[in-house]
Amino acid sequence: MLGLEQYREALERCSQCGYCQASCPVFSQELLESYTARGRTLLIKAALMDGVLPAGKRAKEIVANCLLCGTCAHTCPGGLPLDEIFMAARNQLRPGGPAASLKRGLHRKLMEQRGHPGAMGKLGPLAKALGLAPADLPQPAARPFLADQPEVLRPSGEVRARVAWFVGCAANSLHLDTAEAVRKVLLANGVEVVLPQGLACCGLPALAQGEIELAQELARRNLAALAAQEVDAVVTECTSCVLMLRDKMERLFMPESPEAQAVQALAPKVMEAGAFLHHLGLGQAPQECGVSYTLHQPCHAAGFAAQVREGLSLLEQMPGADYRPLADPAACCGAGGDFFLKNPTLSQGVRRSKLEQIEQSRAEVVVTPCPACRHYLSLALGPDKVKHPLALLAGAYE
Amino acid sequence: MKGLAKDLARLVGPEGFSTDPEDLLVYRHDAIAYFAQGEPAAVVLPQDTTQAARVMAYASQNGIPLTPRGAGSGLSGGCTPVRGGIVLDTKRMKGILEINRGNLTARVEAGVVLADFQKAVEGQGFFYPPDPQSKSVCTLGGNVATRAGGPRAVKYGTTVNYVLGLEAVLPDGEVIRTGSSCVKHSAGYDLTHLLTGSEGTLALITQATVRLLPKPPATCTALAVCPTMEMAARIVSETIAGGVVPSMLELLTTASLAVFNRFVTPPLPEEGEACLLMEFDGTAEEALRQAKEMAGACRDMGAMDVRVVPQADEAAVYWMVRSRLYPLVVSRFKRVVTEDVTVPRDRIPDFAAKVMGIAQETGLSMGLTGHAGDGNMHPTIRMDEVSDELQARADQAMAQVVKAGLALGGVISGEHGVGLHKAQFLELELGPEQIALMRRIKKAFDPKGIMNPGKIWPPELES
Repeated sequence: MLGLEQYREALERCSQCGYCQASCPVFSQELLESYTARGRTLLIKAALMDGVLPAGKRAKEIVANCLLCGTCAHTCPGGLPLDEIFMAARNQLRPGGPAASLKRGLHRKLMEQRGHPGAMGKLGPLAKALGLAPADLPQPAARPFLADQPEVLRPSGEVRARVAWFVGCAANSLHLDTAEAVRKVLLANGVEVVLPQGLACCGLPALAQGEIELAQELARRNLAALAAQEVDAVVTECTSCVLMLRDKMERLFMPESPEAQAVQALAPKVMEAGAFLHHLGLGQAPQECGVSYTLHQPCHAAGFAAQVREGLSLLEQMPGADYRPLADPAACCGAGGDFFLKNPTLSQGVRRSKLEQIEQSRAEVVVTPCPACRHYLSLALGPDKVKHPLALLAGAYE
Repeated sequence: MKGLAKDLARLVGPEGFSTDPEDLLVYRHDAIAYFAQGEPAAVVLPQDTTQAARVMAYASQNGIPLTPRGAGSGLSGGCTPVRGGIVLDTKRMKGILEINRGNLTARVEAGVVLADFQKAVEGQGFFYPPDPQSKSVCTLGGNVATRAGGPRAVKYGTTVNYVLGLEAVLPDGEVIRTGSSCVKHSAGYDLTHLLTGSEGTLALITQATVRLLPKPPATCTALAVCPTMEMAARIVSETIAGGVVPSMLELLTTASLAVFNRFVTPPLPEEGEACLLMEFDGTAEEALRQAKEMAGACRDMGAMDVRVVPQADEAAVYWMVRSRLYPLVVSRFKRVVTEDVTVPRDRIPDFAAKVMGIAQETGLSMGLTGHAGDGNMHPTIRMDEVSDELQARADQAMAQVVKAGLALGGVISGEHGVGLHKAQFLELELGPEQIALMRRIKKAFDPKGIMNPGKIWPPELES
C-alpha cells in the first residue's frame, strides 16, 4: 500500500466483468457506472497513473465518493485488492494548502490520543452551534475511558486467560459504555486484561484519508507496544481495529521488512473480543434477559465474518433473549467512518433500506461491533437502540 | 457536439446525464475491454419511458448515435458506443411493476437486475428460469435485447421463451407496446420477438412482460470429473438421448477444476480433462433419484470422481464458482478470447474434437467450457502475452472454431448476441438474402440509422 504503481499488475488483471455493481452501496444509490470498482479503477489508471486524463475535480469527487467498505474487494471474482487501490489513490490526491494541513494536524493529534480531543473537545458544542462542525459529529466524553484504568485488570476469581486489550478510539472516547461492558464481561469470565501503554489509533482512519505515512507511524508505535506483551491474544471490541491489525497493517510495509515480520507475528493473535470469549467459553452463565435483538454486520468484518457470528453466539446463551435475524445482516448502513458527514444524502439513501430491514425484524435492539455503524444507526433509531454485542451481554451479568 | 450538455440538462435534468470524460471511461466497453472502440459524448440515465422517449426524439432530430446499455456485462461488445454519441443507460428504470399471481406473469422495467427480480418472484413461490451467469448485475432489458440465457436453458429455455410483451421506444421517440400479457397470441407480426434479440439496433426496450413458472420444490446437484473431454461430451449426448433432462448441465475444463479446489473439499482430481456439473429439480425424492441415476451412469462410463450434493448450501458453492468462472479465469491471464458457438447436442463430441484439434494445430492454449446440456459451448483462447501478432493468430483460430461449429449445423451465438465481436460471422450463418432482409427491417424501424450503429453486421454491409 505504498504507492499506486505497486497495484498496476492487479489493475491489469481486472477482467472488467462488472460484477462489482452488485456490491457497491454508492452505486446502489447513484446507478452511475463510474461509481463502481470497474469505473473507479479505470479512472484511477487513466488519471493518476497513465496521465491520460487530468486528475481534476471530477476525478477527485469519484475517488472521494467511496465508503471504503471493501465489499467490492470481497465480491470481486478476480480477488483484486480494490479497497487498497482506492486508499493509495487517496494518498496521491491529498489536498495541499494551509487549511488541509491544519486539518491533518488535528487528525494526527486525535489519532495519537486514541480518539480523545482533550480540552479541545469542550469546543465541540460551540463549533456545532457556529456551524463549523457537522451536527451529526459525535461528542466525546469529558474523560477518556483509559484515563481511569490501571495497567492490568485482574479478575476476582481464577485467571482463565490473559489478553492484551486494544481499546479502540471510539470505545475510549465516545462509547464508554462499550468499554465498560467489555471490561465487565472479560473480568466476569476470568480473563486477565493488560492495557498496554503507548498504543495509538490503529491507523485505519488515517488510511481512509490516504495518510499512508501517518498510518505507518501509528502502526510502528502499536507494534512496539504490543510486541512486549506475553498474552494469549490481542483482543479489541472494534471491527475496524480488527481489520487493521489483522489484515491491513502488513500491507503498509515492504514484504520481508522488520515491520512486516512483526505484523505477521501479531496478526494471528488479533481477535474480536466476543470471538475470543466464544473460544474460551463463558466461565459464568449469563442471567435471564428478555430482550429481542438483531445483528448488523459491519462491512469491515467481511473478511472475518465468522468472528462476528462467534461473538453473537454468546448472546444466544442468554436465557430469554430472542435473536431476530435481518434479511441481509451484512448490507451496508451507509456510515463508512465519517463518510456520512460529508455525503449525507447518499448515506441516508443507503441507510434507508437497512432501517426497513431492522423494522421488519421487530427487534428491540440492534447490536453491532462497529462504532461508526452504531453511531450512524443510532442517529436514526435513538441512542439506546444500538449497542455493542458485549454491552447487551454485560446486561446479563448484573 | 456543442450545446449537448445544455440540451440534455433540459431533457433529463442535471442529474440525469454526464458528459464528463471521467464518467464516460467505463461506458466505452462492456465486460470485454480489449475491443473498446468508441468515445461516447454523453451517458444519459433516463428515469422512465417519457424521459427516454424525449432523449431519443432529440437524438433522432440531430442525427446523434444512440447505444442502449444495461449493466454493461455483455461479452460481445453489443453495448459499446463505437460511433460515439449517447449511451442510453437504462439502470435507473428499475421498477418491478407487477407480479400477477393469477396470470403467472410479471411486468418489469428494463433496468431491473435479474437477481433482484428472481429473488422477488421466488419470494412468492414463482420461478423465472433464464440465468445468464452475470445475473447478479445484468438487467432484464439487456437480457431481452440479447436473448440471454444460461445453464437452465437445457430444461427451461432462454429469455426468448419467457417474453410475452414489450414496451419500446422507436428512434423518433414514439412509444409502442407489443404483444400482451396473454399466454397465447396470434395476431399480426410478432414484433415482440423481433425486438427480443435485436441488440438495441431497432428500438429501446423500456418494459417487458414475462411468463413465470411455479418454483420447483427441490434441487439436487451432481458432479462428475472425466479423464477425457471426449468422454464428457459423450455423457452429455447420451444423457440427452436417454430422455433425462437435468435443470442444468455444464461442461467445464481442467482450469475450472483448480478453481473449484479453492472452495470445495475434498479436492477434485485436477488431472481430469473435463468435468460435468449438473442439477436436477422436482420433488426432493425425484431430484435426488435423478442425480443418483446420473451419477451411476457417469461411473459406468468411466468418470474419475462422481459426487451427489443434495445439501443446498454445499451445492450453492459449486454454482457460485460456476457463475464466477469466466472472470476468475480471465483475471489469471493477460487476455482471454471467448465465443459462444452452439451446436446440436448430438454433435458436441465432434465439436469438442474439432476444437481440441485446432488447439493442437495452432499451439494456442484453448479451453472448452459451456452449457453442454443445450449445446451452447464457450471455446476460449487464453493468452499469457498480448501482441498484435498473437491476437491475429487467436482471431484466426477462433474463426476456424466458429466455422467448425457452423459446419456441424451450429450457430455463431447461443446467448451472448452478435454485437461487435461476431458481426463478421453473421453472414456465414445466415447468408446474404437474410442479411438483406434484416437490413430492410432495420431501415423500417430506424431510417436514420442512429440505433446502436456498427453492430450485428460489419460496416461494409451497412448502407
